[in-house]
Amino acid sequence: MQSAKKPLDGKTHRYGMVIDLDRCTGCGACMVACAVENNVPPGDPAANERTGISWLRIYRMNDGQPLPETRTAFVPVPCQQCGAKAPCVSVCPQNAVEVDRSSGIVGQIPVRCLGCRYCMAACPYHARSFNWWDPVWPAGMKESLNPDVSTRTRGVVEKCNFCFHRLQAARAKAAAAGSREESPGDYLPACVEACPTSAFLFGDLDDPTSDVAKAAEGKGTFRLLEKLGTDPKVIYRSARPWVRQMADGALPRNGKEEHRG
Amino acid sequence: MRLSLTRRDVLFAATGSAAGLVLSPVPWKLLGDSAIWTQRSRFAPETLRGDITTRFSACTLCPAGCALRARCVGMPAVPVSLTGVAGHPVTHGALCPTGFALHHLTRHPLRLTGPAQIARRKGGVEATSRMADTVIASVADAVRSARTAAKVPLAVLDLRPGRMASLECRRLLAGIPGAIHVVPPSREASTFEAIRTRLEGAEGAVGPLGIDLDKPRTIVSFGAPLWEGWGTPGTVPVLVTRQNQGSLRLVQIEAHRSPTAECADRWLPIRPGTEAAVALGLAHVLVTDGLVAPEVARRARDLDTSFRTFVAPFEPSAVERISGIPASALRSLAHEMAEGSSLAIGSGAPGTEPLGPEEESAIAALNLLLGNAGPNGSVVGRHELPSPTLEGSLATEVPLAELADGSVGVLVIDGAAETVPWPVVASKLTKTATVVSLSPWLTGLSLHASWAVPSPAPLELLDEVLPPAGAPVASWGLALPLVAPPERTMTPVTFLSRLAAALGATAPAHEGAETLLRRRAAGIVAAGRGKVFVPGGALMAIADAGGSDGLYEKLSAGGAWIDDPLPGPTQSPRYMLLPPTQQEVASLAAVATLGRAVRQGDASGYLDPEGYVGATGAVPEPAILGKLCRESLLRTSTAARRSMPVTIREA
Repeated sequence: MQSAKKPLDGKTHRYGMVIDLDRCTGCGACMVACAVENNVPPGDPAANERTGISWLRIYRMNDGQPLPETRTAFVPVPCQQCGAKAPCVSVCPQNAVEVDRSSGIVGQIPVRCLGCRYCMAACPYHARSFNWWDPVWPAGMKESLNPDVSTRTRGVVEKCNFCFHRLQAARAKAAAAGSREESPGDYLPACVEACPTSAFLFGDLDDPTSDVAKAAEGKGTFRLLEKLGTDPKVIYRSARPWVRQMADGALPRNGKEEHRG
Repeated sequence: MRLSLTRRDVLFAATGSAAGLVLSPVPWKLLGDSAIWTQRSRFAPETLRGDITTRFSACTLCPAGCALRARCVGMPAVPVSLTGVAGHPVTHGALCPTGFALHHLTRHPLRLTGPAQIARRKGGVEATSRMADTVIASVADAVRSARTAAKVPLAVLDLRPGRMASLECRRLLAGIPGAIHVVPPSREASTFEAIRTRLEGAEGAVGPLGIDLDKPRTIVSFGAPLWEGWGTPGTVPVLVTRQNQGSLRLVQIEAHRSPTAECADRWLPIRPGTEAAVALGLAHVLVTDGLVAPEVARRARDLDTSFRTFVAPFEPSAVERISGIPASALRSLAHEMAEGSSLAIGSGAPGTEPLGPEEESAIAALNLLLGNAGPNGSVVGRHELPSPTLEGSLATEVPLAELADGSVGVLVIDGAAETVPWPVVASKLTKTATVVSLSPWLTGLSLHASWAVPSPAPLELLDEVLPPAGAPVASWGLALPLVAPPERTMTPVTFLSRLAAALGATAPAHEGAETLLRRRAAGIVAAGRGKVFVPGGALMAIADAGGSDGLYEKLSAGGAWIDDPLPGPTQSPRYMLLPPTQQEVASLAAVATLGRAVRQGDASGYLDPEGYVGATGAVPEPAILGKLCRESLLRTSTAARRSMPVTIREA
């Protein structure tokens, strides 16, 4: 992460994302693109959905109706990039979670992390992963690692940071062109770029002219566990009422949860 | 008592302390903490350094041929991430999850880097490295022996036919007596092939067919994985957009709840293997309730005669007993299909097997009844991709289905995707046949080979991208090599050229892949049709592309050529609704009445492959796809199989 200080010109952004759940087909392209972009290693053979590392995980949920009338929705859940009251920031004893004031992005600094996992306990979205194993890439795959992202070792926590290195690259490109402002089109996280159905919209939520800000104010938008007051910058959208109700845990669940263990 | 401290006491204390320390948690804690302390140390993998460049190519793992934009690092450049090409007219910037990790496959643990002898032992398959000359000499000996022992001494099964490289292979094979070129059936195109057969029965030659996805208001899919990249992942955004706009409704008829079934507006779970009965049941309602358009009724030659009689037994109540779909649901679906523009799609990817020719035949009849081959139908014709002729004769091209059982002495399999099940391939071989795989990986069909002569993998080879199955217009693109192939790999053309020389045949001089592709570009420019897409730019007319060299350069820079649509028919063509031969009609009736699983005598039920394959066949799974299969429950692995308790119970 860059310095948490305000930029010299005082201009700040509030980068955020609107995910249209009615367009998500659960293909998983965003998960794979994210893992490749951020040097997330293939999981240990013993890893499962609880112990594996995913900066972005897609959950499958349904409306609880009996088959075959069941309706399914896929919910991509990256770090929700909470606002001023991000729970993970206040609990970290190492100051390894830091908010970049110029972009609003909540970043994780693995070299500071001592692996206490307080942040994982504090995060209500289960958006953080712990490196239970040393990262192992199959032979030859090490040469394909992204040079812009540091690899992490066993014993630290990691999470989505909206591909912050891409923001840095966009800023460098802007600086080379003599501008202090990155061009909106130059900064897109890997998942946004990868989504084949354009379910993700990304941009500055504080810029009222941006598509993402307009979409965030649109009909059918909601945030996960909004009642907690964490002020996430990941906003969801669906025209289906039961999907919106599920987001706040308002819909009773029936049937077995879809996870092991 | 005087306290004295002896040397022995000190030794006892030291030894006890050392032993106690080992048994305490301290060393283990130190070991654990060292993992944290060694962050950023030499134990952590280091990433490449160097200039970052953007290059373009295409994924040739499957016929979809998605365009790729690669971010490369260093010199020689190594791709570190791949994305789709925004604005691409065919792929719409989409990639399947496998495509995002394509660059990992060039270094996959199952990658073969040189010729090898393959042996199947208890517990697995072993590849032992061999010299190329040894392998070619052995294969040549096998071909010589097969000349007396087999009807077809040498056959090349081309899993991606239609490329210029395929033509070159046929030209090389023409010099080897008795050698033939074999092409597999296309899974995605089989619905259209069945329709084409019916049209040709009445109209004569008909060109390739595709679908116009903007037309149908209802798509009835018989297990086709539409939301998983059927045909090409580029179709998914088009369909999802229309579904969200309310202008498209998807009804998925499938035995298990696939990802497409989950996203469908309606899922009709059927008993496995009863797709033909459902299609004929829908046809029955259309015919008996007078829902067939008069124009269609006038043009269908056998509607009021043999077809009406044929579908008579498939009343909704009878189909309910066979398939489990309530008669009322079947009837209402038929009425819904008749109300607006509707399309039925069958077949699909390996994950939705099995749909056989009988099911496709029933689905084709349903589409013809709905008027899909007419002026406002969703099935449209397209131009053939311009294909230049090569000098010299070409070996005979034979569809796999027409190859006699037990006839092939030596089979060379060119390609990696397991688009044909091994039992189908094996049935064509003699008992002592030799199989040579040219796949870059030890997976799929190559597991059944005796010899492997690996070709360069995708991203290592100059290749071309043909129109994907079901596309409404022809298109063409290039897949440029981004990384150098392993030294001991060889292209299929080189292998066949050396095999021909070993057999004493006079092999024609190979023109080189680029020369052949430039000839295709010249053919396209000469045809004078279509437009050219350049990344970041607008579509330009072919006349403005700068001739064949200009077109080639634009395609090398990530562009694509896309053909003009064919003018649609002004009136419905004439066609037959039933298959052309009595044997096919009888087979359709048997499959529809009994269900496929029961008819095949599979009393123990069958295992249905359900792994996520997207548009690809069973290529090796990049390790990172474990995020979808193992570390989440989003997808199952390609190795997964699902048993069908219903089938087992019914059978």
